[in-house]
Order: sequence, then C-alpha cells, then structure tokens
Amino acid sequence: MSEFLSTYLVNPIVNGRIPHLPLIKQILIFLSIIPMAGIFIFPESFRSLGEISWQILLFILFIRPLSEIFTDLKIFRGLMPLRKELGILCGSFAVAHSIGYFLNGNITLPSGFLDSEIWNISDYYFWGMIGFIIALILTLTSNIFSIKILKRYWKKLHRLTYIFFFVIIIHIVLIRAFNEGTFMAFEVWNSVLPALALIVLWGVSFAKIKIPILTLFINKKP
Amino acid sequence: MNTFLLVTGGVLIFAIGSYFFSPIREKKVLTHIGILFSTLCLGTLLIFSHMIGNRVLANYEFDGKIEKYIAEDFVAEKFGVISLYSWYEFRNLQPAITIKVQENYKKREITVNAFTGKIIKSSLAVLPEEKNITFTAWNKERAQTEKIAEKETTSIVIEQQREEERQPLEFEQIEFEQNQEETKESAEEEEKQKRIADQAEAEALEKIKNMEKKIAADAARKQKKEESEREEKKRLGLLTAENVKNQRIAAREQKKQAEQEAARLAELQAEQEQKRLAQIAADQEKERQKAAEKAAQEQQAKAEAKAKKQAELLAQQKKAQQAAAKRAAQIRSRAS
Repeated sequence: MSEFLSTYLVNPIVNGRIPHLPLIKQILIFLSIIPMAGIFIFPESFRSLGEISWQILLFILFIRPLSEIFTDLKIFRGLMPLRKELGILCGSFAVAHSIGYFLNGNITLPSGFLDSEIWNISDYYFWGMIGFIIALILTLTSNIFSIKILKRYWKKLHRLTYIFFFVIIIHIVLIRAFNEGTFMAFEVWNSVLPALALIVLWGVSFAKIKIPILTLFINKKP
Repeated sequence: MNTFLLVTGGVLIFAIGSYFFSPIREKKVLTHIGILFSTLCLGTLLIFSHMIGNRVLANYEFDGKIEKYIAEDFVAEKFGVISLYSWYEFRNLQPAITIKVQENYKKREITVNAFTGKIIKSSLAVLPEEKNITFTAWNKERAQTEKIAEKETTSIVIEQQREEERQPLEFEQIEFEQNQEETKESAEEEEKQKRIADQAEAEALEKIKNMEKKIAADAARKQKKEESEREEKKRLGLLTAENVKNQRIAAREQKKQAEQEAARLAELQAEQEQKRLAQIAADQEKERQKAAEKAAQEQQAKAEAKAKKQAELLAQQKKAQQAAAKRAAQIRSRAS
C-alpha cells in the first residue's frame, strides 16, 4: 500500500515523477482521434467539444506559471512533457468544434469564409473563425517533421497559442453576452474567471515570486 | 445497442487485460492495439455519452412520435421570423429543438420542447403569450387548416373545369337557336328575327358580362382575402416562416416524388431481372431435358445393340450346337 501511495501520489507530486508517462502520452494521442471522427456522427455535440477544448487549453497554459511559482511541487514540472500531446488534443477538439458548427448550420466551408455578415468583428462567429484558423495551424505543425522544417521559427509560431487564448476568451464572452442579452450579467464573466486567474499567475511568474508551498504549510523540505 | 455494448465491453476487457495482466505485454504490437482500442472505446463513451444516450432514446423511446420538420415548423411559426440555424436534440430527456432567430434586429436563441412547446431556454426574455404555447393545439390546428386548404383547392379546380365546359356549350346553344329561328321564320319576318337575334345576342352578352363580373368579383374577393391574411401574418411576423414552411413542403413533395420514381424504377428493374433469371432458368431446364433425352436415347441404342449382339451370339451358339449334334449323329450312325 505504501509503495502504491509513494508511486502514484507522493512521487508525482513532490518529485515530479509521473508514472506511466509514455503510456499517458500514447493515450492522449489516441484520444485526439475521437473528436475528429465523432463529430461527423454526433455533430450536435459541437458545444461540449468546444468547452472541453477550452478546459484543455487552460490546463496547458496553467502548467508553466505554476511550475515557476510553486518550485517545490515538482508535479507541474513533471507535467511539462505532456504539453505537446495535450496541445494536439486541444487542437483536435477545437477543430472538431468548428466542423460541428458548420455541419449543424448546413454551412459549407467556402460560404463560411466568404459571407460578409460573418466577418463582423462584434460577432462571436468572427472570433471563432480566427480561433479555428489558429487551432488548425497549431495542430498541423505539432509534429517532429514540422519542428525539423521550421527550426527556430517553430517556437515563434507556437507562441500563437497565447493569441489563441485571448481570441477564445473574446469568443466565449460574446457567446455568453449573446445568450444573456447583456454584457453585465455574472454568467458572461464567470466562464473567463480561470483566464483572469491565469493572467494573475503570469504576472506573479514574471515578477519571479516563488512560493515554497511544502516548506510553508508542511514545514518540511522534501 | 445491447450487443454493441457487450462487444465494446468485451473488447475493452480484453484490451485492458492483455495490457496489464498477461504475458502479451511483452509483444509491442498487441500492446499498442490494446491501448488504441481501449482508448477509443472508453474515450468515445465518455466524450459522447450524452449524444449516445440521445440516439438510444431517439431509437427506442421517441421514434416516430414527432418529425423534425414538423417541430421546426412549429418553432419557426410560433417564435421566429428567420431561422438562421436549428438542431434537434434531447435535453434532460426532452426532445428539444433549438433555433436562432432575429427579432427587432436582435438575435435570439430559443430551445423549445418539441412535444409541449414549453421554452427550455431563451437568450432573451420570454414573453407572457409565449408561455402558453402548446404543440398539441398547434398540431391540431395545422392538420385542420391543411385539410381545409386541400378541400378548397379541389373545389376551385372542379369549379374552373365546370366553367370551362359550360362556356362553349352556351355559345353553341345560342348559335343553334339562332339558326333554328332563321330557318323557321320567313323572309318577311326578317326584322322580327333580327330583333330576336339582337335580343338573344344582348342576353348572351349580358350573360357573359355577368359571368365575367362574377369571376372578377371572386378573384377580387380572393385577392382581398389573401392580402388580409398576408397582412395579418405580416403583423404577427409569420410571413417568412410561412414561406420557409411552404418551401419545406414543396421540397418534401419533390423528394417524395423522386423517391416514388426511384422505387418504381427499382421495381421495374427487379421485375426485369426476375424475368431474365426465369428465362435463364427455363433455358437451362430445357437444355438439361434435351441432354437427358439424348442420353436416354443413346443408352437405349446401346442396349438395343447389345441385345442384338447377344441374340446373334445365341443364334451362332445354337447353330454350332446344332452342327455338333448333327456331327455326333453322323458319327453315331457311322459307328452303328
């Protein structure tokens, strides 16, 4: 029992040794097949796919600042190698979300791009389309082949993730405002509270503030 | 569905078991296949569980109760002007139809229970009159209006046909009367005849005029009725919904016709195919019979030839026996 606890609880949290890491990576890659295939069978599920994509994106973006702030909790550092696979999964969900929207509204891709009403900056559809394009680019370049071709530009290109994050915030706020009929409702902003928390964390990380949480609360160095 | 779940469960147990508890773990390819299968099955069940549940319910519980296009007509007529997009799903075990409409330049998204017409969700405030909308009442009304419209159209068509038939008959009758009068009355009564003819002509003209007036009045009344109806609908904001509905009905009819045509063609093809197959079978049967007959004939000929040969042999043996008997008798007589 103690061995099990140390392998699956203490070691990952304190020492950052995630068990079965290659297996988890493999599962994440296989999981990214599901939304892309499933959206053609269940196109009405595009909303839930969008929500899952947003949550995965938040998880990815939370890892780095948390690892820099909570230095003695090595779990965040241990999760860093999973970001690539999680990124692919997030992109796959986001692309499936867009495809589902098109399928549901009987919109063809060319008409979706060419409709002048759609390219209205105050409409959530516009921001969704921008997000869709970015997600497509990021997902298609999330492989070793692209890294070899793009070399140092690959990292610059993948900084688009942060733009993607802000685009999606605007997209979500506009949808909520549209549903509620006003920008002033709490329901409009509660969905982006984690995003605000993330921005705060970025600020803390940028200021190089470190919180040794284990030392502070357990009063014991690992 | 149960079999589908059983198969999925079996595959999952095999895949997980093969990975964690068996020596197959050493073999890399099987491990990969196991992980792939288990991830795909479990992931699909987890991600699309709600949708799978909906589909199962749609197949087993609500199938055939209400069609999507009727629900769409209902929602479009009662709530919206232009349906930008709509979808049909089950929300909390309710068959829900969600549409996006535009009202007074404001976009609105409404989700309505397709059975009851009750609003499940609305992006704008729900109006008091919208709360009392029910599907059953609307559906009854729709069925009635459709029936009445059908009756009206058939009666109008019949009336038009009758009028078309009647008009030439009347003219023929007038002509016939005129001719009769002309033959009957003498040349001296020409003036009288003329007067009568004029009168008849005037009467006929009056009749035609009356008929024309009646038709014009009918048309005007109909137009007025239609206009008032249109205005009423416009007032209620249902005109485009009506157009959408009409378009849908037309499309449905076209689809129906196409399907009927396709079914007819398929039937014809099947019939032809059946005929062809029957012909082939009959030909084969004939050939078989012919071959059997030929074989029987050959066999008979062979049997006859054999019998002939045997008879010949017997005759030869008999001859030889007779010759031997003769010889023996000669020998015996010589000895005596």
